[in-house]
Amino acid sequence: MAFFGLPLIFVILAYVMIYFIAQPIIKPVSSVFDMMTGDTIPDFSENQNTNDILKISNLGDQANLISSADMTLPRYGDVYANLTIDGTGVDAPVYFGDDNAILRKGVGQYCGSMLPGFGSTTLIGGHVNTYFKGLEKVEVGNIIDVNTTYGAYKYTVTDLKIVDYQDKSAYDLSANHDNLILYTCYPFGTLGFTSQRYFVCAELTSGSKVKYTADN
Amino acid sequence: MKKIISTLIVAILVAFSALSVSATTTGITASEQKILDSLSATITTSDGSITIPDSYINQIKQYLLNKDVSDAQVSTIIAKIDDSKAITATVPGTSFSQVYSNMPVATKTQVIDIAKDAANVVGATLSINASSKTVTIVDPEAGTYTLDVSAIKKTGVSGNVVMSAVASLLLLGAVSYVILASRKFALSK
Repeated sequence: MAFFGLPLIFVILAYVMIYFIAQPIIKPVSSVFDMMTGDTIPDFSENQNTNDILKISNLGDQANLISSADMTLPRYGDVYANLTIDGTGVDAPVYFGDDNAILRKGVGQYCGSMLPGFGSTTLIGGHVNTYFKGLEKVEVGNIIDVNTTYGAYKYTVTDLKIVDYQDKSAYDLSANHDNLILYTCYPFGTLGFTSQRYFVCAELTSGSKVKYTADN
Repeated sequence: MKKIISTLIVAILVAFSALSVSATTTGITASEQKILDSLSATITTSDGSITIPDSYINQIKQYLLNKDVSDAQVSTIIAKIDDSKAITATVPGTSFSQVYSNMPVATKTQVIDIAKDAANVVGATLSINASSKTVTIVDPEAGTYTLDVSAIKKTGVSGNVVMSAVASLLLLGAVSYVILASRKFALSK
């Protein structure tokens, strides 16, 4: 029994451990393998699509100016948008708020920044090993699509920066024009927390402005 | 009886629809804007001047977007802001964090109490977490708002996760070694 039982337990334990450690690699590889070997048409009807969850309205596409009174504003912890960058693999749900629990589920907007369309800076962070891994492929000129619950917004990447996390020069929270800042830890592929951050700076190129004060 | 029940149901539905309307609010009114203007204005200290960080102003904006504040409430809140500005004028410092660290404990408590009173004016409660440097406003109508001064978060792989994986592997190796060694010892006897 000892010759059989103990080695078996250790083999199972080792496989379980390897599975958990290599899970980020196994999942996409197995998906590709299934896609290539599968003989049935995949059924995506059960898959949760962020756009379905968000029930994206065309409100923002129909008018150049929308009123905040016509919108349901997100509360802390709500998913309010989906962010994609073609050709980079970046495709993530955007949450309002950016604590540890939120950053495990998607990318998070800092509450001290403004929502897209509100005429200021939108600052969004995401983990380098998951949702924002693809930021390393982003180039100046790329288009960032942010589909919110109140309309679709397109931003054009204007700059890429690597700065210390305490350096506030990479973003301006008092800006009076719509711009989007994405950031993640740098260098890419490093284990553990780092002090540097990789910033992707983008300017709004299309999307409706939101009227939320008596003046704007 | 049926009429009474149906009237009650209609009343409840109307109440709920009114609540959902207040949740969307009418944006930031001209009156509410005065709160933001007051907070954005330069604050005089005993040896210079400071401004409240933009991240705080933006978070108050997000709050006001979800909350309707009456003209009377706005006036009371602005009076509270002026009270705390008057206290700040006696403290030295040229930055927000500098003024806060220069404040005697009793003065800090006084300013925090004024902030709590200002939140109470609109039916919200304010609390401060000194260790995480966050201010939380809990409003039964508008939700919870955490005023967090740290804009940039940790977005790397947690060192703890890596360490625990390595530690698990080492533990597995150590346990295997002990079992093998004890078996060898038992066989050699």
